[in-house]
Amino acid sequence: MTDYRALDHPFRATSNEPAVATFLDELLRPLREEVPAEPAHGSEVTAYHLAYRLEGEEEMARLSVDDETVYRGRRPDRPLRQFLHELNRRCMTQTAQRRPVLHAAAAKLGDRAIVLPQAPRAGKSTLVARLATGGWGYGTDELVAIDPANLAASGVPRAITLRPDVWSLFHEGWVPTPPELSRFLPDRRFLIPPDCTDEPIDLTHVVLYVYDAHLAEDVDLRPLEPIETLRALLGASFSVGDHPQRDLTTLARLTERVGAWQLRSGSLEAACAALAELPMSGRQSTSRTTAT
Amino acid sequence: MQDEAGHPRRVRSSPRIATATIHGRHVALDVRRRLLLEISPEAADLIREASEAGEVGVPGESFAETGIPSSSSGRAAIIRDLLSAGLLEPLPPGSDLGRP
Repeated sequence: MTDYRALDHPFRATSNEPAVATFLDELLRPLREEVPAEPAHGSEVTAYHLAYRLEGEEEMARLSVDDETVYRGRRPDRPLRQFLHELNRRCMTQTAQRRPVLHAAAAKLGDRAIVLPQAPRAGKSTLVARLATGGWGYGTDELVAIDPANLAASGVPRAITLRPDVWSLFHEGWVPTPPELSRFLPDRRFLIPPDCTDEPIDLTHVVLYVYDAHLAEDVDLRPLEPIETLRALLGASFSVGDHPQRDLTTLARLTERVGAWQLRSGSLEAACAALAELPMSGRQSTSRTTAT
Repeated sequence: MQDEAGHPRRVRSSPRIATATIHGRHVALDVRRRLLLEISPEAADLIREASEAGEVGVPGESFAETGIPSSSSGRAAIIRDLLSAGLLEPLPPGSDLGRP
């Protein structure tokens, strides 16, 4: 049985349906543990099980988490969707007991390590997918935990979920979806970048990325004031409601350490190029046009 | 202790407030409203004092009808601003009875 870990959430995921089991094994590959998962900080290893009895009109599906049934019904797409949701939620809740958890993407290139805190649908998953298929190390597209002791950032390098409108931008790294499952998730495809890591990294930059189609190939790069940066990090924190003093203090210290920028562009390529050239220190505003 | 109109003369840190410094500037986070406000060092000290002691008083000041200190100088003025910003709140009437 394969064990996995997402930050402080060790887990197993199984299915009685061979196609689903194979798909899970591939989907969760970046989270695989080399050694069997140990309970983390008093928490147990969570067991997810996706059960199916696919018999036409009588088809039933169920997701159980440990001994609790989370979904049981006639919609075969639900266990997989609900599993991904539960995995995220439980990873966040468990990890937030010890460290701030941000809704953010993270990637690394040489000495440069960036975190992209942002609201959903702002384009961060697509941007980090482009970075991670263009030579950057992939940290996560969703959850970043900051260690209060040393400010090291750890991510969940899960497969990146991409919407149909950007599928054509990526040609490699797709998790193969068995034909039996394609009807379960017709609107989702998952991409695993070549260089995934869950090792702690020292962040150098916070970047607020905004996709702006009106800018086309132009890049608008503006330094952020420390208060703006801290507001953005707090706004992305899942854990600040339960741990306000810890999160505020930790994220204020992180803000003091990193460079912070707002990046607007209508071009993924131009945005990636700008991130690779971010100043490692100093604060200056730039606005330029990238050659097409 | 209350003033003649029955208004409290002591205040406490509002629930779910956190403070920190960033590049030497003091900030307070109102978690309930998700607001990050820059505050003065004196205000930061006062919030910390209220948080650690449970409450702080306003010596020599009485509260107006609104429950806000009427004076515009010194400690009372800081408390008034913090009350207006929601970072401090008056102790409910009766909760400070018996205190000096």
